[in-house]
Amino acid sequence: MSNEPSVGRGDDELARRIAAYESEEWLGALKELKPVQGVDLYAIGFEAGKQAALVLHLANNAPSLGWFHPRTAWLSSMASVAATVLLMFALQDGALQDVAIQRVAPSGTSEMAEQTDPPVNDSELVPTLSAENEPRPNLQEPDPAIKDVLAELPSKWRDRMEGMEVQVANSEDSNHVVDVEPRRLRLAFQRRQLIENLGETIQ
Amino acid sequence: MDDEQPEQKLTETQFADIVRELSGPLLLYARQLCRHPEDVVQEALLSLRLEPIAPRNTRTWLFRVVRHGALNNLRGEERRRKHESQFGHERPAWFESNSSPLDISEAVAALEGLPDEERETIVARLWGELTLNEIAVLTDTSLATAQRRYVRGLEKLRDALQVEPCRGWKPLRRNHEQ
Repeated sequence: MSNEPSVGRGDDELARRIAAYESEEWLGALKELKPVQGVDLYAIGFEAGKQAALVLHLANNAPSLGWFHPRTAWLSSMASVAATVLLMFALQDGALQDVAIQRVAPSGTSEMAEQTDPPVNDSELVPTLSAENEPRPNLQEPDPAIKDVLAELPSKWRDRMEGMEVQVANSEDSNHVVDVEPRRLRLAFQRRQLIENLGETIQ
Repeated sequence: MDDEQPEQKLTETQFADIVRELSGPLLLYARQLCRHPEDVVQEALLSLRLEPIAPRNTRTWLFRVVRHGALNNLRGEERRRKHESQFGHERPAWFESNSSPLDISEAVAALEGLPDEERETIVARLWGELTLNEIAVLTDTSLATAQRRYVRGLEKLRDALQVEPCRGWKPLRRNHEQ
């Protein structure tokens, strides 16, 4: 660390006292206290970002993987929904904080709030999704690949995708939001970049 | 985690490991300096992730970024303090319950009773696992000053936790009769 400023010489007597203190049992017990991991939102965002990128990748490549047959179209739509939900959780403390996931139906259709950005090129999925005469797929037999992806999701996200209404609460008081919002928006933007980078990495 | 990183971008795995290992200590450290430590730590971790080349010593780099961010955050808070009626009333947890024989609330109270500079030094040393040299650089002071702050803080902590220095230490209960 030659470029770091010099910190000068320490005091030898103090150094001895410090060594003695640090060998005391009570200090070891104090050090054992585990700091709260209070940036769970970030960790969730990061993990969710990875998961979302993977699901997006699967959804985008559904045709090449043979999943785009009308009979299995719901799988693609499920992947799309899963990715959207994951992205929302990844970004939930940012710009999308107060967006409600109003309903994600078990059939794979969703009623997302309008503010939600589409996560993928959904246009490719639309024709199949709008097909009216296709028989309802058997939900008990999902494609193993999708099943594996969904199985890797944290249970709370899976639960939330099973037709439950989810409200991402906005806990900030109104005065606070005014000051905080620009920073949160910036963080959300950075996080989106991060997720996109992860998506590119996976692909 | 290896503190001496090669000069290249962090891999996802390395980054995830850093988040897991250091987010708690960084948060605790930021909590000593400002009122919104989560934002500060989150920004620091994002900054690390977006760095094109990983810092040589990720741990000290992160603590430095968190310190700067926390001090900036504190200045912003001062400006809007008058607008927030609940400012200062919330007291988020510092530690999780674990196997330590110490009572968490007593430990937190003892730490809170320290002067800011001593508490910052102790947190950086005990939970951040920085050397006193690194803390001296971090806090822009001399090694001897960092040592003095550390020792004074430890002495006060020991008194607050009712530790008897010459005996085998046992955690003392609130109503313990000596």
